[in-house]
Amino acid sequence: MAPERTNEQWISDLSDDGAARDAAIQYLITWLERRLFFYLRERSDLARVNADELHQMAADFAQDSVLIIIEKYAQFAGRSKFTTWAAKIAVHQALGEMRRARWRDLSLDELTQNGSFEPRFLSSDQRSPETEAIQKQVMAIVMDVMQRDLSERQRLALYSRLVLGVPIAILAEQMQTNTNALYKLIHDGRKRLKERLLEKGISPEEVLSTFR
Amino acid sequence: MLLSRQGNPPPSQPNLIQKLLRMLALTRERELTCDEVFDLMDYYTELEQAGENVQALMPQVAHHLQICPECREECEALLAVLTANVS
Ligand SMILES: [Zn+2]
Repeated sequence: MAPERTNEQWISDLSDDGAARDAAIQYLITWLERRLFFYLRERSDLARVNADELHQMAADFAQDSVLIIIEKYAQFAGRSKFTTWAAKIAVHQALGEMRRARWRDLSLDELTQNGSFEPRFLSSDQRSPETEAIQKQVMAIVMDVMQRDLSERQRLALYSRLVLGVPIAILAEQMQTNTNALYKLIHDGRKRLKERLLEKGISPEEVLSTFR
Repeated sequence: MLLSRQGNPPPSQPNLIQKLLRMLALTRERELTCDEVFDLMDYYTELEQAGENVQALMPQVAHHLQICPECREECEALLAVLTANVS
């Protein structure tokens, strides 16, 4: 096997307009494909997918990723090895596609169709009567703060992330925003919620300890 | 693509209050967004791979990974891809 390229060689090979570029691209595709296959094979949710199909998935992901890498390699900041950076792009691409496939039927309209959206957080997990009472009280306050102090979009976003487990990129698409803005929206919502609870003398850490 | 559709998980999971409270307990005034974490993820994962104390060296990234399941999943996947025994 040829010695590993340095970061500078990667950039210069990919900037080449001839054989060096083709060789670099081919190396990258193979390198990513083999590693992605290894990763997919270990994923429990893909345990029933046979090896041929996993190979095909890995090949598709590697191809798609390399297109993105070719487009973006000028942005490579050199903080890591080039291959680590490339693998990061590939992992993001592969997991993003798998999440899109898994969540493709998600419709937030169903959640909001009755006009206003009211999240339900109450747990069915009951302990002793005292802790149950504390938890009920806390939940009532949480629900109240959510209704009063959070916007409808914040409630919807928090609920979708926390309760439904909707991935942030999928939710951003559905809410017609980007992941950065959505993260900030949810973060602001969490901060507001925490602030209001603390004002009422409720520390999330302390209430958490009543669950144990 | 050969992925099977698994549908949305049911909303009635137990321990939702705990989940929410844990999230609030972890909430900080300043947090990195997913995009900011993505920028640093290759560097972070190499440090982790080298056995460095990433919690101490990049605490804000480590904190985001506690809060964000997708970035956590990607970080774990990246580490698995980098350490894959493919020889
Ligand atoms: Zn994230």
